[in-house]
Amino acid sequence: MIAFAFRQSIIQGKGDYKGWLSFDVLEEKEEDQIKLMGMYSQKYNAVRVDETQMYIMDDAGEALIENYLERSN
Amino acid sequence: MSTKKTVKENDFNVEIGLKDGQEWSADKLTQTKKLIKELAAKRSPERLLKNEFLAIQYKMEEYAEANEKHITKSIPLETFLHEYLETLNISFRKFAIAIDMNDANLKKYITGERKFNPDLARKFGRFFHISPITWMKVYQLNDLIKLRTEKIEKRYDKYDFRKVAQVSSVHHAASSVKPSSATVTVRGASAKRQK
Repeated sequence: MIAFAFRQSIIQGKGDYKGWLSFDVLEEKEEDQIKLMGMYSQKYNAVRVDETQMYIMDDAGEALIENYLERSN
Repeated sequence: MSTKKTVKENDFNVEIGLKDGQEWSADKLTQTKKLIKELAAKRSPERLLKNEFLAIQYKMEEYAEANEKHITKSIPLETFLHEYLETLNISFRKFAIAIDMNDANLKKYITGERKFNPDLARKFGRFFHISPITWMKVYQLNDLIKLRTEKIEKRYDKYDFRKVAQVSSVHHAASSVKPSSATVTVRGASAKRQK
């Protein structure tokens, strides 16, 4: 889903927003939230902004698409 | 007692999005916009070009992979090519020369006057760093859309096996001969033998 959302940011984003995806990680338990953010950071190269917000841009997003939305071409 | 209907309704009662159901505050939005601006300013010219290229590539891929039946309006190859050329700020003529083509001749391939082919797809693919398969798929998809949406021309009405083969003879032959031998009685051939 993150890879798909990032691809949309590339296709539809304008100017500075092209190739930029931001999202909030919200879990009921704070420890789960921290774990999940750590996982997104490690696995998807997402960057943490504050307690909940993260972003993915350019190379990291492109790699996500290659890994998760790869086509047969 | 929970009916099936109630269970279904409960299944849909799942909150997606922010816990409190609110959008970002004005302050957070401002901070995020500021951050985007700062990060975008650090992008190299190569990265900016890459993003523009990726946008066209992903659009082409989405289009090429789409179900032909769900597309109401085709996107010609020409459109994608012009997007690339516009991004690179080069003319059609310059592009044609770069891939060893005459621009007038290339125009014929792009507009459908001549068949777009694997050789051209490879040239396009190498030039724009995108799979030649994607170029071919876009072209073929447009052919399929054309096939579905164009009105059937009367001139094709003459092509009908019933005008050539006697259906009853074909059926009889198929049921009486060994599977390895294909026997089709054709009116012309049959008439010739009778003479």
